[in-house]
Amino acid sequence: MIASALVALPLVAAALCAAPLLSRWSRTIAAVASLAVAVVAFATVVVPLATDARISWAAVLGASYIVDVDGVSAIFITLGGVVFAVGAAASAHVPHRRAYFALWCLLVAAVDGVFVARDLGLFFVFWEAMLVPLAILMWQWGGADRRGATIRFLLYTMAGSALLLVGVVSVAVARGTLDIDALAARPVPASAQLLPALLFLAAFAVKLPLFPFHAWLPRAYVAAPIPVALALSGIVAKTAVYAIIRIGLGLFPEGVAQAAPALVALAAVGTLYGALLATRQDDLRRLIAFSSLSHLNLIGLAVFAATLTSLRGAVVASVSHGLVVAALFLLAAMLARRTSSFALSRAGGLASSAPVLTAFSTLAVIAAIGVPGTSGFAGEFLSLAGTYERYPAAAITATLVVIVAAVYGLGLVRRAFHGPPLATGPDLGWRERALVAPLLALVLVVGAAPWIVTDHVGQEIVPASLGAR
Amino acid sequence: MTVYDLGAIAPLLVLAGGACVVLLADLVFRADERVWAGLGAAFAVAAAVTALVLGPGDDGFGSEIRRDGASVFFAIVIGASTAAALLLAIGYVAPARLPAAEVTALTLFSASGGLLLASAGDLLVAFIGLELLSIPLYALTGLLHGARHADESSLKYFLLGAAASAVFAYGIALIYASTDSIAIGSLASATSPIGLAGIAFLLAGLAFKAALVPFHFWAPDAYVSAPTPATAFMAVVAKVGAFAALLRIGGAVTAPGVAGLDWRASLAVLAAITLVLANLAALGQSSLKRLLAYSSIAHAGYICVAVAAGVVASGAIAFYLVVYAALTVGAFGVITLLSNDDPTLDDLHGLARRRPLVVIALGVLLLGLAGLPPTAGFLAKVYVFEAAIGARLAWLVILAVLMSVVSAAYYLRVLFACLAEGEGEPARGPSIGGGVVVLAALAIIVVGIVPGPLLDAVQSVRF
Amino acid sequence: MTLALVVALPLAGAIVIALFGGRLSRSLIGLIATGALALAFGAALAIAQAFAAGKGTLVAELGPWLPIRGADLTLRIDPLTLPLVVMVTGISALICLYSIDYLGHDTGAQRYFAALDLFVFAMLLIVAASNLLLLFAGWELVGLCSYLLIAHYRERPVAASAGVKAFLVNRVGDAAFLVGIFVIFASFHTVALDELTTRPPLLAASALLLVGALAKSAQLPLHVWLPDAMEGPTPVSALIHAATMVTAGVVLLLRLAPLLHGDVLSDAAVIGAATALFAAIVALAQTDHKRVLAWSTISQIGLMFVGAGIGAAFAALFHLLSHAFFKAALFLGSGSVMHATDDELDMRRLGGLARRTPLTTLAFACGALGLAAIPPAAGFFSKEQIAAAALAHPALLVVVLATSAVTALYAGRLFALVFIAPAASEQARGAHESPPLMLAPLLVLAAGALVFGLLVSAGAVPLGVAGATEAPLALSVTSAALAVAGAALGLALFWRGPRSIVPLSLADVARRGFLIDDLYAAALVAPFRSLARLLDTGSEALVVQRSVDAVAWIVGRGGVIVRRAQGGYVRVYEAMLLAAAVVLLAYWSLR
Repeated sequence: MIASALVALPLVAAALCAAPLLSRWSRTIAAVASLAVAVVAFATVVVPLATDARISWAAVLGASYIVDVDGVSAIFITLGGVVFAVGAAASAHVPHRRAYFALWCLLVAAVDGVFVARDLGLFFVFWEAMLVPLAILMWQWGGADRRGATIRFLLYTMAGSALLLVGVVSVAVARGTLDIDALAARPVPASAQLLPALLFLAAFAVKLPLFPFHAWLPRAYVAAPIPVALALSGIVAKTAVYAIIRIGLGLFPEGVAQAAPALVALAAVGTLYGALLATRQDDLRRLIAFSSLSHLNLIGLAVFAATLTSLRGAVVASVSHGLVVAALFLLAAMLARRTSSFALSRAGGLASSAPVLTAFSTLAVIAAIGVPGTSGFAGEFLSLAGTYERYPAAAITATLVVIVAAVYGLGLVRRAFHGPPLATGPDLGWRERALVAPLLALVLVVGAAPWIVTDHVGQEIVPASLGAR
Repeated sequence: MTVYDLGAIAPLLVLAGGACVVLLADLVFRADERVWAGLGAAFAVAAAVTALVLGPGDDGFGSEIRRDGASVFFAIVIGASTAAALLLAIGYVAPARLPAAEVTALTLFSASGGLLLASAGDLLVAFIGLELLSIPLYALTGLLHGARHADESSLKYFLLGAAASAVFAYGIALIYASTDSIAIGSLASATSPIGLAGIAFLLAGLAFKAALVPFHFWAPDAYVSAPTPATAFMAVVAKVGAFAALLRIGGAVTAPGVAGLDWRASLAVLAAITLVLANLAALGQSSLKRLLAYSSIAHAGYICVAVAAGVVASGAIAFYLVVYAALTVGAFGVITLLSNDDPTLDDLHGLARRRPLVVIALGVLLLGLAGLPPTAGFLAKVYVFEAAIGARLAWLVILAVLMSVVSAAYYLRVLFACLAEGEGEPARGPSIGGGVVVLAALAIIVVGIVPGPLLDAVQSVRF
Repeated sequence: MTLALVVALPLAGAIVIALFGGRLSRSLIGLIATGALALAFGAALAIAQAFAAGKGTLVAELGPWLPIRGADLTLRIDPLTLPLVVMVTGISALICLYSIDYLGHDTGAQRYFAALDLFVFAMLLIVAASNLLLLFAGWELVGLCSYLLIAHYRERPVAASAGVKAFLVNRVGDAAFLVGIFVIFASFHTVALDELTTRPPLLAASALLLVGALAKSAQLPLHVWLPDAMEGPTPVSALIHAATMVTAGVVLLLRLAPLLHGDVLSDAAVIGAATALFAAIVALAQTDHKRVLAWSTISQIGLMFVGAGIGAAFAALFHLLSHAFFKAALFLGSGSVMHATDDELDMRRLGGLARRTPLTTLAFACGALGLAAIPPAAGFFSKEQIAAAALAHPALLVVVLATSAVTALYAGRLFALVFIAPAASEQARGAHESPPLMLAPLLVLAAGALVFGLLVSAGAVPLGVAGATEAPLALSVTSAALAVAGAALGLALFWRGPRSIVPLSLADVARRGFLIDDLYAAALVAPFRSLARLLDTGSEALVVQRSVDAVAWIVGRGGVIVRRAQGGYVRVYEAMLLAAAVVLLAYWSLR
């Protein structure tokens, strides 16, 4: 019941946003709806409530409308709600606001749907449904390179989804049902899992994106409007994390395990690769893009390793990255507003005129590079420690990222804020502070009490056949 | 002629009769042009209702005309699509200075041919249906004298169509020579080389009507030149008829012990070629109508994937055809709302601002064409793919999904063109055609979300 | 509860200052920061009282943290760590007090004092953590705070870069430390120290932890960050060198001794000895008085590593504490000199301060006595302990004694150049004594540097660790003689002012730390940059992006070709149609 509400709520909000009469309030509606989603989702893990729903849908095709919320879904939805709320609130002065916020709410609904769907067909519906609002938001409200970036993002991810569709269809034909829980209860023989696992992972690897399937990422992050880039990185990428856990590991644990050595190697390399490239970027958005690539590959590494610790780490790291990247994108936009450019070479020495911006940015960077006390550390440590149990070499390789991350992170702070005051600008106003401060506060809260997240990621997340560690 | 015979051809009679009524009435009464299209639409609806009410029953004329679930279902689809196309014509004929009564009558005659083709029990009836379907279409294609190359296209279409008909007829002759029968059921015994050659020719003839690559060359030119409502009609009804016939013939050919494997392999290859080439060809088109023409060829490819899976896929094919009909009528319907009959993508600029509802509807239709959820187009593709996977055609499915990614590229170009700023072609005011478009979009969404009834209905498509 | 208070008070101070400091005056911020540290010191003393009354250990369980066995927010204090807690809070409080006037005109006081308190909190975590993970948290936070404080003068590019450098080198150690934790966790499934101490030590993990300790404690080959760290405000140097950072490596070795493999410990001793002598020689060649002290710290920590490595926990701890006193006194004295001379750092441009700033001179002298290990200053007793422990390892002993001699030499040189030699610049001639709020902590520390050794040796201040060895008289005499001789030589050589004794080029190489920095720049930093550039312009641009472009191009090109086939000629269409029909026919009839 509540799972359906999590999808319905933003849909209603989308309709309200589109209503001409409420045009002035569309931003508020979108933000409040997103926040409400977060609150409701988090409430489901605190209060025991009936969350599931099951309605016949396309029975002939094996698909049904089955939704439910469990701890992991709830965490991701809560994160999504927060990120979307901040993103909506940050979307001031957009042209065609009714369309913008209606699409925004549709995106929220689709993302929520991905997290609650317990039927592969339904899952695929929501998975693809995310694309259209994203694409239109990027195309219509994006920056200079928006056309090419949108097309590339769209077609690349759709190519991944195409293979996912083949996987879903194959499962439907072979098993006669697409009910995820039913499928997970009776997994196919280990020897027959690799192929479907690869088909499913193709889509997830592109969406994450796993190295080297990230060709769409830097351009999309740069071209998308900041709130959309924030949502794209903060939560849409997490749908892939969730999907690998729920579907990849849930349905084809052996298949994923067979592919894991290769996947783990790619993810470990990608972790370093993204960080290394981030050290070279002058455009802040590209820097954030490659840093995200690094983080997301680390999360992928942890998921593929599939130990309880690493999976918990992946969830915490997802939450952390979502919050941190949202803060970073907002701060980048605020910086760009002051220097009229996202180029770090056009900033420099902002610390003396904008100390609060500097402090917030420094804190966000510190969280991004995983200093203890921030959520970044909790996620990174659990991910790597868990991975080490099964894939020591990959974990050690990926651990080198703590050094490289410091290079690009502190490099960012140094180039933008330190040094002689080449660029000046007013410090953050109250509105700007109010946007970023909650994110940073959450980063610290999750850093100090990661059990808020990990308590809801139980042993059942680890495929039984992969052994309980 | 028995009452059963009458029951089997009742929808056909309504269509053909309607055509005659319109022609005669046009001679007698002077009415607003739009009345004739509306009247024609009413007859088309009546035909659909007739088929629905009478339902399946005994075949007529000694099984020459079938009255099985498939006939009834396709009659309803043809009737409804014809009605929709004629409704589009209501707002279209006057500005285009078309003779409404003739358009209506030709459309209805052609529809009756499609119906005959879809319910043919023997090859000769199928041939008659094929010709009855085609000849009015040749005429319709050339009606739009203002359009560039209308006459030329009509002539080309006729020449190619005649060749295809000849091939089909020759196929019938070979079959008859091989089996001494022209009943479709007798194809099962056409195992001699001559019989098999006949089957190959039948396949070629129907592939032409269904516009499968490389039998498709007539389609883009004809689609672009024809008056847009006729294009919508042509794209839907000709395919429904052709695929129904392909299914019937396929059902017989793939009966146990016969050349089923070859039949399916041929169709799979045709499907693959169609998918690749049609989608690639649509990529760079700047004319919306031509783009949609290639898109409809590509969709024939998807249907063909299911046809290759065999009769078990008849439900999938029927579902796909219904969804395709709605998508195609809707998409071509959008063109009838523009003042230019052959708009380029640039002409769409600014449409989102001027006609937001139409663009939302078009957006839904394009998503449906691209096979994206939550539209019925998505479910249709899933259904087809499931059938194909079940028939061990995984390679074809992978090709098909990758090609649907390519198709997304050109569908989204259309959508993004509507969203772009600028002054494109002025759109006509609200009209019945607009209503049809919105209704089609609505249907696509509703069926996407509540597919149950339609999915149940297509289970009745039995041969 | 008291234990929690000790650790929480500095954190609370940091948070309060960070959140509300913007509206408070500079001195009020300073007072809050100092107050928090002073209260923590008081609480630490209260714990010491309880321990003196016979309490063994104190544990504070504050709740869960990470979902790993043992990774809770639990603090733990025992007789080994108690002196460290007292020292860290006490000395930090004094340095903080000193900073109030030192930072009197700095607009960055808010972040300075917040970071200072956070720094102390982090160090206390290292000292009092009950598990490896919490210890590591403190470990990293210490690095972070050092970054923030070293880069305090952030508009100065050198300072900003020095901060980054400190953090990066520390991160190298941290990465090793992390992997060490992974190894331990993968083997024992716990990170709780009391559980781990009962397990057999792991060689790999021990080595990795040692790398962490080397980076944090600026030992060879990861010492390069510390000399640059002088770019921060001078009290920060005092804090880093005396109380809150570089000694962390020694603390780690002491606290984790049961976990560490014997081979690794002896390696630590060897590295420590090498570092000690190497850094002492480099210190001898410095011209900047703060850099002398920086290199001297590296050298002294090396001695502590020797002690910890050969199992002389008492000696290492003792030297750590006495070093804290004299090094804090020296750095604050250095700060006072800078305050007096308009931030003059070059010893060759100083001199004659003894007459102009007598109290600073007095305090500095006490510190220098400690550093040179001249009896009865604290350094003498603690260094003697290390030497005594090293008796069993002749090679180490020789290095320790040699280091002592060189140390005394540069201590003498430093003192002579700054305070005795004739004033060499306007600044030196115009020097003025520092305000009382700076002098008071300085003098307290100087007194500590003078008497702490005596007090411990006399048993007046218990260190909580057994293991004090009675040094043979010969050793005591030798080391005292070496120290006195070295210091005397230093004074004698330089009391008239700077002079060159070795060829300038050689002195220059030594002054630049034997070019290890340049080596790293060429051998590590440059390849790193090249790699990043190669990936950026090579694999990313040419492979990852271009491959997608290529697919798009091929598909688009295919479209063009297909469209060309649709040329509009009926004869072509007919031909294609018939050809296709013929192919079908052929297939069906020839199969």
